[in-house]
Amino acid sequence: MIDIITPRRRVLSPWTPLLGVAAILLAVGVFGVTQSVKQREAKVDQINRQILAEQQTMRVLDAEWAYLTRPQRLQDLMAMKANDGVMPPAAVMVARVDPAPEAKAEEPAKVAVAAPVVTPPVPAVAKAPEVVKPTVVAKVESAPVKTAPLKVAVAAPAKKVAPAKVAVAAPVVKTPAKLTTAPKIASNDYVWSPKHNDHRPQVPVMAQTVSYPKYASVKRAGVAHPIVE
Amino acid sequence: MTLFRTLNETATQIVGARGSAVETARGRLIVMAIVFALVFGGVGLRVTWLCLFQEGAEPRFESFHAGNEGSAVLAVGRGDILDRNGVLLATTLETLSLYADPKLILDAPVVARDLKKVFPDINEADLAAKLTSKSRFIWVQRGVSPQKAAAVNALGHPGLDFRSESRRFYPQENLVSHIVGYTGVDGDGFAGVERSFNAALKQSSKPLKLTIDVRFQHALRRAMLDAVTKFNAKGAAGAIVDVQSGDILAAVSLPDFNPQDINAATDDQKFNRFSLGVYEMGSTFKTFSTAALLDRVDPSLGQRFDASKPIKTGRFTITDYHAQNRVMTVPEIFMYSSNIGTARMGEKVGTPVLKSFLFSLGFDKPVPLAISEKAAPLVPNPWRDVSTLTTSYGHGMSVTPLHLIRAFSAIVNGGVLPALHIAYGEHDETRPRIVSEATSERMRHLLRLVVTHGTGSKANIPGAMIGGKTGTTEKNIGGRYVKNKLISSFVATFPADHPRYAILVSVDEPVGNKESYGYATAGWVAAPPVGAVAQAIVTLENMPQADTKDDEAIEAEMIQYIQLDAKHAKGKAQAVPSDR
Repeated sequence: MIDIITPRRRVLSPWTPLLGVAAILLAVGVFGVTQSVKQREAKVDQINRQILAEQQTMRVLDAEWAYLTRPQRLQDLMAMKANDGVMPPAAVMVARVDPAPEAKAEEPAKVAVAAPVVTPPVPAVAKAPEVVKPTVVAKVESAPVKTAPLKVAVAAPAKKVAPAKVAVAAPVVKTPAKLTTAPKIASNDYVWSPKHNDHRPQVPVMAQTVSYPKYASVKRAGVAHPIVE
Repeated sequence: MTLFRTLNETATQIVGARGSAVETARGRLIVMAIVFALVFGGVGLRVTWLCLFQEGAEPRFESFHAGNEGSAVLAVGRGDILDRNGVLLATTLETLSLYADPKLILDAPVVARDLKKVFPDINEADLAAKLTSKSRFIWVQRGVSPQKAAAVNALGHPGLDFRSESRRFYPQENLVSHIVGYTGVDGDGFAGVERSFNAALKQSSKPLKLTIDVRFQHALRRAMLDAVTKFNAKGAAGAIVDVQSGDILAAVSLPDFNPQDINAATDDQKFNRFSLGVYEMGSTFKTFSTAALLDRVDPSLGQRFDASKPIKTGRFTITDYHAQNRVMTVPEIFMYSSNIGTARMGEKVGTPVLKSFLFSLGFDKPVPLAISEKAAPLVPNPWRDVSTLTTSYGHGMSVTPLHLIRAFSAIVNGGVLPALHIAYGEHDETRPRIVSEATSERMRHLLRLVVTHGTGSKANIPGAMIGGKTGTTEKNIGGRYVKNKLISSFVATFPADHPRYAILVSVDEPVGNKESYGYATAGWVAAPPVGAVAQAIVTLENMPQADTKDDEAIEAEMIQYIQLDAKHAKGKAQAVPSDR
């Protein structure tokens, strides 16, 4: 006994092929994006590798810089230059501003400078490679007082060695005319406390006397010798 | 479309016995289809997953640590060591090491000859022999510079290759050798900070900043080297300490060594005299016994002690090197550095008070400091009454130079004992008070007097207002004092009105010369280098001149306690030629 059953009709939805095409397109798109991401990643890797190489070079140059600016070498170089007739810069100690007499308040108050002491100075270069310009820091704490222009003598830098200027003038503080006393800087203005751990004292009047020799301004990039030599 | 429809139309359903067989087959087919679908689906998913996330792929970049936002950060290995201003003291660099595979070497003598041209130091015959050996690996040269590596590559010989190795470099050479220390072949620290901070330096590539300032360090080392050369001394120890914070700004032990070339260093060079050497510090100790008297017993400077004749206790006889043979005030005893007078002062203080005072200054245990090379002081045991007399002028108790400068800082800085720091940025929570502010000020005035009128005059720098104390001891070798083997020390602070720095220079076995009229005592040997260091610091820090009025006031105050003979009159501060 055979029952023949009417076959079921199956009709393919018109969306099916469209979906198939969309899937293929999407696949191609994803593949393309993946490839471009891969390329970009390769580029990032290449740049990273370059950064590492640069960092390694910088480390070598840093070490070399420290080696070439070690105080002993700078001192030896200084001695060598001094033999060519160049005087080593004199060590100068900056004095306090004494209260100027009232009558002379209009005149420029001179800052007395202690006599140069002949002991060989320490080359102060190891700290920072850049050339420090001579500056004058004038600190007036009390209410407006009349300050005459200050003439600050700076250590005469060696002729051939130092690029610093010889003398600089302090900024002039303009004040009302009725006050006639010159600034009185008490001795205990110079107070140092453990809070200032960076060893910079609060100095009432201070002239930057450090003059850097020429070789200190050599650009890092210009150094070519490897440290291991 | 029509194709699908046709297929569908032909599909029939069969029922009955045959029908059940067809059903079975269909069931099996469905199971198979499911299994295949699962397997292929799994494979497909996995492929997609791998494509999308690159899981298990080769690392894109080996020696790269993801820093902020994925940028490259160099793995530097052992961390750098810097001074307080960021100057490099120790660093690790990748270096190339040349090796050879003898099996690949074509013509060993030629290769050896060419390599000799690049590295003039190597033994050509030896290398040629090695290159013909049966080994597959021989080192030719370690630590090759990039230039020489390029030269080797330019030779074009097969079988030569490079390996990258980390190596520790010390650009400052000998300058900070005892503080920084050195590392062994495997990169472990063996001395100094390299040893005490070994774990931290290994774990993190962050640099370690020290309190040292290379400029101060150089100034100190230069001055000490001068003294050692001039007086033909065996060695020297010295330090500069910030008296307020306890930061060690410089510490030098001579002879020193180059940490780059540690194999060439002798044991004497490696010995750290400032923290490992214990010495009887002599008259510099009078600072402490005088402070004990003024702070704990009687603050008056005018009190008098009989120093007219030597003290005899048991087998000891205490004499003065520069005898005044009279009754003296405290400033006089301090200025002339009278042993008899100071012993009398110690007697007045008494054993328990002096002992506990010295112990409170840290003379009973090693100096707390973050380096491993530390020695414990030698304290008289048992402490008899005669120990009180001798210790008051610095005999019978041996301490390290760091002990001395730390205790000295406490006496001059206003009276609180700082901990000594070597790592930058450490601060003391609490600091024990040792003496009162008033005593500290009095002591500074006494120390200033020693420099203006007493034994330390050669350390005087105009405007720097240095105050200090000399000390000369005979070395105690095998329980007996050797007359011509001295240790000459000078410990000083400046500016004496608002002290910032303490400087110590201690010279081991100086020999007197013509310039010093044969004297090898502290006033001649150790005071000038301290003056030179103070001069350098004044220049480096742009320190203003000390107030002359302060200085004159101190002098005027002190002078009233002093019987000056013509030689030591005011204005002629030419001191006694030598000192104990």
